[in-house]
Amino acid sequence: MESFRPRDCKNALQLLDDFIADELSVESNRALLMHFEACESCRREKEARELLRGEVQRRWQAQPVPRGMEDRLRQSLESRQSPRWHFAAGLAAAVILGAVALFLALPFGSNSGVAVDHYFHAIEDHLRCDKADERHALQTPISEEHRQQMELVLQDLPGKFHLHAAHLCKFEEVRFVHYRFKGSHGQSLSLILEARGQDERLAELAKSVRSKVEGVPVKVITREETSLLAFESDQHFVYLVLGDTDRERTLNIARNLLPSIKDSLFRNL
Amino acid sequence: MNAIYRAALGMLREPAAAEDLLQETYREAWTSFHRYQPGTDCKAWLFRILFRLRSKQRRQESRFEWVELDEVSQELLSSADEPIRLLDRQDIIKTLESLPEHYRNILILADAEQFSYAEIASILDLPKGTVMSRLNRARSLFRQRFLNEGDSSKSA
Repeated sequence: MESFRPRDCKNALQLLDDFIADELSVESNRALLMHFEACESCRREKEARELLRGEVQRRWQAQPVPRGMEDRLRQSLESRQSPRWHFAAGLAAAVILGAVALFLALPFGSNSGVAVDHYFHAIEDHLRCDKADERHALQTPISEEHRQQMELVLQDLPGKFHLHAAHLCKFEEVRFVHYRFKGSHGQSLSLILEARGQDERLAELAKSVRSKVEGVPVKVITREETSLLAFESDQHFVYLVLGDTDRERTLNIARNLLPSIKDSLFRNL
Repeated sequence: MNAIYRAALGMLREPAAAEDLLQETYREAWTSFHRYQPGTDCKAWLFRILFRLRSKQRRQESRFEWVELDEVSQELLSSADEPIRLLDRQDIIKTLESLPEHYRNILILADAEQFSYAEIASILDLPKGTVMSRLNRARSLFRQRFLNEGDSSKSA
């Protein structure tokens, strides 16, 4: 607790830095402000220190960083994908496996210089999303028409699946629609849809897009017990996540699903 | 990322070493995400990792020693006109770099990056009271050197 008498310059100057840093109590702030009103010398000292502190911040932050540093950092965190891509992968993987731990254990990286910040947002959003999913299956109301379309999509899958949960996730102001399906033998499948931003391309989110399904370029990654496949349409990114790491089986499922997803689902999103 | 690099540079004063420390910090962050608490400030969390790594480095490098100043003038500098006059020609960064590392670090966190005292206490793993007293000494020393350098450049 700061003790301060309004007329006491010594005390005022002792508290001055904390005042400038906005670390004083309301009462001390008020007492100092009253003192500055009455004392020109302390007021000038305050202005001088504020100026100096401002300059320290400005000049410190204006220091250049080495050219190519971001690229080198990215390389050192190699073998990873973009935050958003990663968000989708981690989100669905965690849902499928019912364990946030897996999501956290996946190796990460980014094509973005602010990857860590992005990643934290993703984690944060995911944790909420995951908890919500456990508590409230189908918590996001979806229209009957939409549901029927999803059922149609599922007809193209081998085995019998039903829509178990649907909810919205947000990451960097981007809305993801996340559907989780369950198969009659306990299989899981997640479908995550995201409206594409202007000029965004899958190639920018994922490092390599080599495979093609039904003529559509797709990106496939498999990790731990999860396989993720992504592709894009004119307006959307689609992420399919399966509890299956066999690349060929994943591509087969995508081959089955992709036409009906493209034909029916996108029109209504 | 740039803030972490600058802080690393402030500690090490060597760009290549600062970049190494930056990379190490990010690698550590990737592998210890499970310790991050969602909803807390991730920049502060990264700084905490950075300072922990730096502290480990320092322990391993005997050439680095903590230099406590015998005496930092606690005299309150009545310098109202001086900083304004000196700002144009004085190299603030050089003055910062001239401070002992533990003073420099805390000043960078408080005044250059403008973390709150509580955040600094968490980053440096120190009691808030220690942060406040060290910061008080660091600021006094900084101002003292800033003004003295201004005087010496004036007389040169």
